[in-house]
Amino acid sequence: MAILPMLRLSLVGHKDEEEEVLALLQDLGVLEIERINTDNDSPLEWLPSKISDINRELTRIRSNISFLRDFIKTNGSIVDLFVPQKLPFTQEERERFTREFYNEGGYETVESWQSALEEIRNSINSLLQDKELLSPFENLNFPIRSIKGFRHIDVFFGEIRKGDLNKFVEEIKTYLADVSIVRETPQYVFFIVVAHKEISGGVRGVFSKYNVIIFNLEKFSGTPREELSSIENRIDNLLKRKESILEKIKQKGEKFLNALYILYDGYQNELIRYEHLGRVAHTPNMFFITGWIREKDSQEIKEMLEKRFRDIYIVMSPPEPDDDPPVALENNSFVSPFEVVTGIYGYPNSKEFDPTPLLAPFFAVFFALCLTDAVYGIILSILSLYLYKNLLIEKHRKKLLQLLFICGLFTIGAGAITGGWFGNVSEAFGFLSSFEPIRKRLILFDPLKDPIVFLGVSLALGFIQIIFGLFIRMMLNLKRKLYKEAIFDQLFWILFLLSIVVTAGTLTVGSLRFLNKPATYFTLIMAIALVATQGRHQKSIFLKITSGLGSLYSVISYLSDVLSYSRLLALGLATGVIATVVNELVKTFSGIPVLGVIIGVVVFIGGHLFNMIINAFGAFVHSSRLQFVEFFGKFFEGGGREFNPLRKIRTYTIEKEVIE
Amino acid sequence: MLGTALAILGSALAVFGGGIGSSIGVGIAGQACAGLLSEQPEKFGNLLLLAALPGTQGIYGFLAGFLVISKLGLLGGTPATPEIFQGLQILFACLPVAISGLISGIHQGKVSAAGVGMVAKRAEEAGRALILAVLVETYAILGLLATILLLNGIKI
Repeated sequence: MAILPMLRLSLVGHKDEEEEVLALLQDLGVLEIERINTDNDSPLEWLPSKISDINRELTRIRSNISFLRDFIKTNGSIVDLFVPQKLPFTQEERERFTREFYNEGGYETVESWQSALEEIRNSINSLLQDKELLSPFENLNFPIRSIKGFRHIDVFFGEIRKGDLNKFVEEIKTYLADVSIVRETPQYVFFIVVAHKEISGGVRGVFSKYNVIIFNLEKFSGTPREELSSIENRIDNLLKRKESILEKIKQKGEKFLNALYILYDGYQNELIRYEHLGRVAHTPNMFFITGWIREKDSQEIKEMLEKRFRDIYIVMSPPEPDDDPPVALENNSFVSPFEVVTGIYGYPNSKEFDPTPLLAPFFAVFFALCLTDAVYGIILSILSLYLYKNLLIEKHRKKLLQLLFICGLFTIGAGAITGGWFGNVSEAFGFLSSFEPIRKRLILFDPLKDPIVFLGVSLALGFIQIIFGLFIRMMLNLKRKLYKEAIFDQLFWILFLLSIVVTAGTLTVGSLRFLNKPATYFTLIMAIALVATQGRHQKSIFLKITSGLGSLYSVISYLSDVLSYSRLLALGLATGVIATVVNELVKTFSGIPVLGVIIGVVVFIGGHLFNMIINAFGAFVHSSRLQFVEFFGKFFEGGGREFNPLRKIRTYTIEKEVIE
Repeated sequence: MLGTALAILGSALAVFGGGIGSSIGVGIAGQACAGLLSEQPEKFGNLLLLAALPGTQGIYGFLAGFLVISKLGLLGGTPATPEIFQGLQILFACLPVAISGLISGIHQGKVSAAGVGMVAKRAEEAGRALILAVLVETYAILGLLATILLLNGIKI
């Protein structure tokens, strides 16, 4: 089960058919192509320039997309923040959108919009600057051209702080220049200075001494008022042009954007295909591909390729001992969502087995115990089911939703036996009190009243999982014919740990007291067996005994592993307590007349939603951690590489046929 | 009445110890996230989880605080009146969650911030970054657990 067997597929063909073969393989998405390193390769000379052409095209599309995107309102939801959804198109729609885009000169149109809007923005900005230059001198009722371009005289338009004005005027006058005040504001004074060209150097010195701002009005000729109204006119015209472009974008933008998305994904897949061409070996007339294929696909694919292409030769063989084939997992529909958890840690290596079926039940139970609220479980299941049905993303990325659905169902059970239904909702609110007896009847233990029972359950589950982990390791060793390791390192430890627990049990449970003696003896025997065998790698008898004794210290590490499962209690309690607090708050608010009900409802929904999200998240990461550190540590090696065949990858779109 | 005051001090310590730890931790992680978000806004989903992770210490502290409040019967009905020694017991029982929450929250924030760096380069590593940060949280949980068990053992 679980890890799919892989075959090495080698394929030789004629160069003429190479691109078609690769295109077909990409459509099928079944073969991971390995790079062939050989000295006498004759690489395709046109390939690098083809790849850079495609990259250029992609850059162009990307810049068009990022421009258009700002104008097109998509009905995005909060979900898009977490998982950007993709647009569904059929093959026919893809072709139609692309054709229309090219027919209407899509690129040129979009780019002309972009440059026109850019130009309008720049023009408006410079006009606004002009307006700022002119407006202080609005009251001058003579045309500016009449006071510029003199042969002997310079005219300056300036602005100065009011406090400096008197000193400034005095100083300017010493140069035999003339100052006339044009306009005053509470802080600044605008003025015109007329000076002979021979002294204008000195006048400029005075300007910089008093931090005077000089306005350059060279480019204007009419009266300021005329100029200002012409600026206003031009701005109005520009804004009208902008409106008309925006109108066009509104009409055609969405269609173009869709076409751009489709084009982007198309080129992206072309890029992937051509990059894979670089992994293929070539002679002047032939090409040679090697890679990995799932055994279950292999026969069908071989026949399909041989039927379709004439000059093609295919060999398939199982992996050699020093090969490292990629890993593909396959599980039944209950287990396969849990591949998400395995995937976070990393795939098993190709010589191992898939741990997913082994962790699945533990993960679901742990998640449920961390969340422990039946209503949250119901909501979680319904929500993930709804998203699973409606989210527009590829199917293999929806496994997390399936996982949450299953965990939600388990949570309903865990909530029922611990009495969590929105915390203590039926106890807290009088109008729900008729449900209280039902809730009470379902409770096996109340985490708030007797946390010790919950703790016991958590630790017991942990103990079971750790023993199970050791057991798996033992079976692995037996399968690899490492009998010594299986018996000494695992079986002895399993028996020793079990006997410790049984002995402890006989001490606490009165009716088992009679078993105490045999259990204690058995524990001692196992301890001696461990001391005798754990030092077997050492050479001298003295070292054998001391390292055997030292190994007993590992009990501590098993103990700490088991204690780690106490997090189930802590997280389970957290959910219940916060839910209770939310209910208490709602009760307090509902005392307020009129508004109380509204505030109460808002607090109730918001509070419980917050609690559910935070704790479901905690439940997920902590349950994962228990698998990775406490469980995997016992037997799992990992380090496998996920099977990644040449296939179509789409960023913005998705095949409509796949969803429906 | 001094007993009640001491117990309330314990409850307050639990809440604000965890709260400080979490606010510093979330603060550190949040700053790192904001930096990355300015460059790669599409990673918001992954980052939100990393930034939220050090927030749990605050919740644990609050949880312990609430357990004390409900033990004292301060929410409704007749409040219990613990002796001075019982108050001290409750105060001490709150220390594990208060201190471990304070310190682990800060460190979890640092690990989360480092995880943000991982996500920046390879978004698919978000799961592993989360797990690393969760390793720190274990000790806040053990602190909470000790507090719960101690509180459970104190009879008023």
